[in-house]
Formats: sequence, C-alpha cells, structure tokens
Amino acid sequence: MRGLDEESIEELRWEIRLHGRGGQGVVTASKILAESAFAERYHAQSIPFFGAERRGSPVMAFTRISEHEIRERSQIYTPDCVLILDPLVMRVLDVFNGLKDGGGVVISTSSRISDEILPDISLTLVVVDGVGIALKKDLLVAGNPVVNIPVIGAFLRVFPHIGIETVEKVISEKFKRNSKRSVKALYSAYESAEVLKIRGKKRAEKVYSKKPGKIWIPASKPVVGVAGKTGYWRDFRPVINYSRCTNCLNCWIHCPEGSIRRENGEVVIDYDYCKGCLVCLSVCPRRAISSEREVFA
Amino acid sequence: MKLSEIPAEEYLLEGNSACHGCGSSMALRTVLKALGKRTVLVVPASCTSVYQGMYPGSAIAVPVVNSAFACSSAVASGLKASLEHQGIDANVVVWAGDGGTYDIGLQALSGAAERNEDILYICYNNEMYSNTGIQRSSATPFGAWTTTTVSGKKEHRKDVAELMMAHGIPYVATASAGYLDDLYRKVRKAKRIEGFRYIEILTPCPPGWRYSMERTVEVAKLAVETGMWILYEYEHGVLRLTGVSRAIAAGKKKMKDVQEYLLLQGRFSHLSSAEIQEIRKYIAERWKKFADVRGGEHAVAAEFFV
Ligand SMILES: Cc1ncc(C[n+]2csc(CCOP(=O)(O)OP(=O)(O)O)c2C)c(N)n1
Ligand code: SF4
Ligand code: SF4
Ligand code: SF4
Repeated sequence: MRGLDEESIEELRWEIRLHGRGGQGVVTASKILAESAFAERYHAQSIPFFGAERRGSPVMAFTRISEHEIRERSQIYTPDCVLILDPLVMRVLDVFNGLKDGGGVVISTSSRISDEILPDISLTLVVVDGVGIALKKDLLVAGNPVVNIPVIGAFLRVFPHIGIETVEKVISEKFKRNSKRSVKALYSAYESAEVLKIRGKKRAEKVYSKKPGKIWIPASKPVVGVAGKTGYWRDFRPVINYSRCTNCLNCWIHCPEGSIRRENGEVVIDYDYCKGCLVCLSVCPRRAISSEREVFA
Repeated sequence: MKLSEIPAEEYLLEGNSACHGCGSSMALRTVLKALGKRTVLVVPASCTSVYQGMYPGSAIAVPVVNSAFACSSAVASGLKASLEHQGIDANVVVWAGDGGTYDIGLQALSGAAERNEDILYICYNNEMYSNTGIQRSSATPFGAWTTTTVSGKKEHRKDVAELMMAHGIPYVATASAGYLDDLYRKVRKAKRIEGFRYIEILTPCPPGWRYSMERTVEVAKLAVETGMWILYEYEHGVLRLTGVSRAIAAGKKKMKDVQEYLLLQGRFSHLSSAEIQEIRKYIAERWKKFADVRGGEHAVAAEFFV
C-alpha cells in the first residue's frame, strides 16, 4: 500500500473504505480518521453510505486523505485500504472489490484469516480482536461491543501518517468524559494488532488511476434480478389452470413484477422471480389461478 | 382497448426489490410500456430509487438519472434542453412519489410547469413517504394512520393535479393502478403532446396502507368507485372525466359508499363514525365540483378553483 511501507510514494493520497453493519460505529470511525488526518494538516473527507435503511444491514463509509485539495465527492471504488469491522459482512459483500495491489486490509476478528478469502494480490494484513478488546475495556453501546476504535488502533500500526496521540486527542474531544475507555482500547489494539505481509500469486490488473479533479460517474446497466432471485420471497405459489384460462391477459398486465410472460398465445409464470403476491389470482376473471403453499427444499 | 395491444416488451425488469404487490411498480411497468425505449427517467429519492436496484445493476431498462429530492423537475428541464441541443429526440419523464411531488419537489415542479418545459411529470401517489417507513405527506388523506399521524391525520389532503390545472399547462390527467388500460392510454396521449404534462397515479401500497398484498388492484379500483379518487383528463382548458368516474357522473353507475374502501385498509381501522362521516362530506363536496360536469365534460370555469 502506497505510503504504508513508504515505498513508491507518487502523490500522498489515500482512499480508505470501511465496512461493517449498522450500529457498529462505521461512520464514526471514518469521521475520526478524517478529523485526525485533518489535525495532521492533510486534506480529509468522510462520506457515509447507507443502503435501504435497515438496522444491522451492511454499512459503508469512505475516508479520503490527501496532500492536495480533494474535489471528488464519490464513493471509493479502488481503495488503498479496507477496514472490516465485522467479518460477517464478507459473506454478503465483496469487501475487497477494487482493492489496489499492495493495499492494506484491517480485519476485526478473533479467528485466523485463511488465505482463500483474501484477494489474490500482495497486501498488508492487519488482524485485531476488536470484540475481545471492546469487552475487556468495557466498550459497549446498548450491550454491543464497539469495535470501531480497536480497528482504528490496528490501522495506525501500518499507517504512519497519523500519530496515535492525534487520534487520542480527537477521541477525547469527541467523546468528552466517556473517552477514557476508548483511548485505552485504541492503545491496546495498536499494541496487540498482528501485521502480516502477504504476497499474492497473481498481480492485480492495473487499476485505473484517478487524477485528482477527474470525476468518474458510475452508471448502472439493466439486469434481471438486481435484488437476487426474488422467487425465494414467495410463501404462496400461483398456479395457472390452463383448462380454465382464456388468455385474457389480466394477470399479465397486473403482475407488479412482470413475472408473467406471453408465450405462444399462453400466459406463463416465471417462478424464478415471481414473489407470490397473488395479485394475478385476485384479478383473474376466470378463477383460473390457484395458490399453493410454497415448500422450498 | 385490448390488453393484447399493449407491448410485451418489459422495461421494469424482474427481480427488483419492490414489496409484494407494490402498486408503484405495477404502474411503472405499464407506464414504461407506453413510453417505450426512447425515454429517460428522472427519479428522485423514493421507493423507486431503491427498488430500481443498487449499482452496478438497474431494474429499469431505460436510462435513469437519480436526482436529489427537491430538484427532479429542474434536472429534467436541463436534460431536455441538453438533448434538444444535441438533436436527440427522447421523452424526458420525471417519476416521483407524492413526497417528492407534493412537498419537497413542489417549487421545482411549479417552476418547470410555469416555463412550460417539454417534459412529462408523473407522480405516483401512495399517499405517504413509504421508503422511509410511512410518514405523512400533504397527499395523505384525512383520518389515515401513518407513523407521524398515529391517531389519524387531522387535515384533508391537498391536490397537486388541480394545482397543475391552475398552471394552465397543456395536459393534466389522473389515473389509478386499478385501471392500467386507462393509464396506458393517458401516457400514450401525453407522450404526443408538446409542453409540460402532468399525470398523477393512485398507487396503493400494501405495507403502508395495511391491506393484504393481493388486493392492490381491488383497493385501487374501490378508490375510484367510491369517489375518493376521481379519474379525469384536462386538455387545452377542457376537463373530461374518464372511465368509472365518467360513468358515475353520467348516472350510469352508482357510487359505492366509502366505508367499503376504508374497511379494507388497516390505516383507517381506528376511524370513528363521525370521522367516516367527515370523509363522506369531503367526497360529496369535491365530487360536486367535478361532477357538475354533467355527462363529464365542460370548460373549466374560473370559479372552478374557488
Ligand atoms: C433531501 C432529502 N431528504 C430526505 C431524504 C430521505 N428520503 C428518501 S426517500 C424518502 C421518502 C420519499 O417519499 P415519496 O416521495 O412519497 O416516495 P415513496 O417513498 O412513497 O415511494 C425520504 C424522506 C432524502 N433522500 N433526501
Ligand atoms: S403472484 Fe404476483 S409476482 Fe407472482 S405472477 Fe402473480 S402477480 Fe406476478
Ligand atoms: S387472468 Fe386468468 S384467464 Fe386471464 S390470462 Fe390470466 S390466468 Fe388466464
Ligand atoms: S413500501 Fe409501498 S410503494 Fe414502497 S416498494 Fe413497498 S409497496 Fe411499493
């Protein structure tokens, strides 16, 4: 990771992506990093990202740190480092997406990280038992261990551009009287974090380099199944009795999903995506559609 | 019209994250069929901006610009100007919820209407802010429960379609997810008209209105049959009721009692008989304004809006 091991510093500019779940302090961690970098006289930026607002759902935040003014306002697609507050997020999201060759990965976990889950590039891996530290230092919010501070502590081990005393100051100002335990956890994580150098077998493809000031606008492409196979949402399965059906197309036009097709003069239900709302059943003038309990194997 | 005349092409793709039985996605599917491929949608923050899917995928098979809440009409105006400048002929269409239309997007909407921008603005009205978990909007009807009107809304809703008529734009229409053929016809017509066009669609929402998911069409039809929602078209200063509303005005169909509509929905389950009476009164008054239009057609007189 550029600047991490102080090799090949072209421009001092880092992009850090944080992953976790709602309530774990992902956004706060991103802010603390940006404020600390700012205190170290860098330009800094922190951007939160929420999906459809659900508690416990994956949350991201982005921190940019640079010697120069930062003009981008986008998400981070090719991070220099990813901080993973909750390893479970790795099951639902490709947290390593776009990570630069030679980049950094900081994970809060008490178990061993097997090579298979890591991307096949060279990287600096930092592992810290964030939950263990939070429990030991009594760092709990609503009974849940807060792992964001330990993850920051671990990150500082490989990021020499922000001093740990600076972060201590930022935390003390932010949390005021409640900051003591956080500061202890910060130092404990800094000391106990395990740093590993990993040589990837294949070099990552050259990532597209971003010049400051040039903005890339992400554009989505149409795909069937953006939310996955929505057929799994189904509790009831609509079944067409073709001997009653007159092909009046009422079910076809009203299906909110577009899961009923017109094929060779017949209406056909696509069970991969039909959500089982049974609107089709309720609009069929011939009562040609019945519902069956869905049983998934 | 025959349903078989509606194109089979799908522009709202399967596997999106709209709820089971979502009236908004039901209407959008028909609207996109009517608009066709040469269309750009502008969608402000709403359920649609979520169920269209997350980058890098999209459930909508035409280009979509996701705008900030307050400025969808301004973004669409700019897009149209840019396309015109480049010599590209395409429908620029705003697809916004009632929160994004009645409340937050109102100033930009009024501005674009007054400038008679060449865009089609479609409001899908689910009578609340659904995406953020059911809060009242100024389109929420009297008496309805939302998380911010826990004992029922105390005010009657405002009516942006009437406000649009007052702007004197070339075309205003109302539609309902219960009558998709009527919706299809209105969008096709609006597509051919030049200048600012406004269509508002009543789109029931099972989780927000608290009814069982398979009844979306039934609820959307009952809204019209009970006079709660009036179907009409306003073109070049002439107002014309359409579909079931026209039949009711012409005395060919009897208006149903609104209780039938209210009883289907959990959001009205707490209503007292006095409150139901208040809703009946509201319908009667509003209906009188429209249905003086004997047979369903008349020039809009100045006192219409008084
Ligand atoms: C400026 C701004 N304020 C608030 C929000 C949060 N927000 C996102 S969608 C939404 C509700 C939109 O309601 P509506 O327009 O009625 O569409 P619906 O959700 O009902 O489809 C809100 C409040 C936002 N995205 N931007
Ligand atoms: S159950 Fe709903 S989603 Fe499935 S085919 Fe019928 S209308 Fe479409
Ligand atoms: S609504 Fe009923 S009769 Fe009509 S096409 Fe569908 S299944 Fe056949
Ligand atoms: S909350 Fe309502 S409007 Fe939003 S996706 Fe669900 S059904 Fe549709």
